[in-house]
Amino acid sequence: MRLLVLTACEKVIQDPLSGPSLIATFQELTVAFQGNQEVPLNAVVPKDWVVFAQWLLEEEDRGKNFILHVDVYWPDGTVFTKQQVDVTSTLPDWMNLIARMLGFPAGQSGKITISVSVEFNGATVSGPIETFVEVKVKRNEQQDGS
Amino acid sequence: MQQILKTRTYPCPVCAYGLDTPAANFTICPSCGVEFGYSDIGVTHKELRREWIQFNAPWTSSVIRKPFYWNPWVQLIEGGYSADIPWLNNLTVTQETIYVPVKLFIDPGVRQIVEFGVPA
Repeated sequence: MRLLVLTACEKVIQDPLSGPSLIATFQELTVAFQGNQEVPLNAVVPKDWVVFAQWLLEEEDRGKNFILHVDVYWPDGTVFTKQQVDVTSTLPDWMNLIARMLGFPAGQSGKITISVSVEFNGATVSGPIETFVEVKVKRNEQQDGS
Repeated sequence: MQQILKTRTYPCPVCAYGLDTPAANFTICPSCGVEFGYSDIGVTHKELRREWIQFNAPWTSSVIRKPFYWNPWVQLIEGGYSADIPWLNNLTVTQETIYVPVKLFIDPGVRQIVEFGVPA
């Protein structure tokens, strides 16, 4: 199998006839916290987002039961989330991963790393392949002027 | 693709952690540490939540291990309590897509060039 697409986006519309449509892919995110509240380094903002990946399947991949892994790392390298899901692809040529995330890691400036891999029978058969979202955190932008 | 959902039979009314039993009869939430029927006498759950948040929402139990990759803010947001997180007030989030100009030769015979990804 070959990974064709790996990206973060806001939403994926799934249509069984025409396939998935990606809404608002993004590679940069600027988060501006207002006021004088201290923002923790593990801060998460309520933004729904999706990790979308698509693999092109070879003949020998069809009908197999794969485990898809999606790992998201904070800029300091610690794990934000690790998810895995069992999939038997019913599509003839493609396998899609749509991992919906609740909340975006926004406490640290830097690169959020998204890593995907595919496992079969305990062995990694694709990846891990990484992509990034650059996060810029601005704190206490609004001052009271005193 | 199925979405991965956590089973939360009895969400804690203070921090939204999934409890095994209802939040009553001296059940102690391992996440926020509230003992229901004791700590919440004369105090609202909202007040207890704000107090927990004030201390940066730590995992309180020393007996029950913190779940892997546990994040209190995700838990609160998932539970619908994001309005109680003070640093989320007036938050602005701007997302950007980076476009890279690319030229593709679609058909070398015709020498047709298609451009896409031109920055705005």
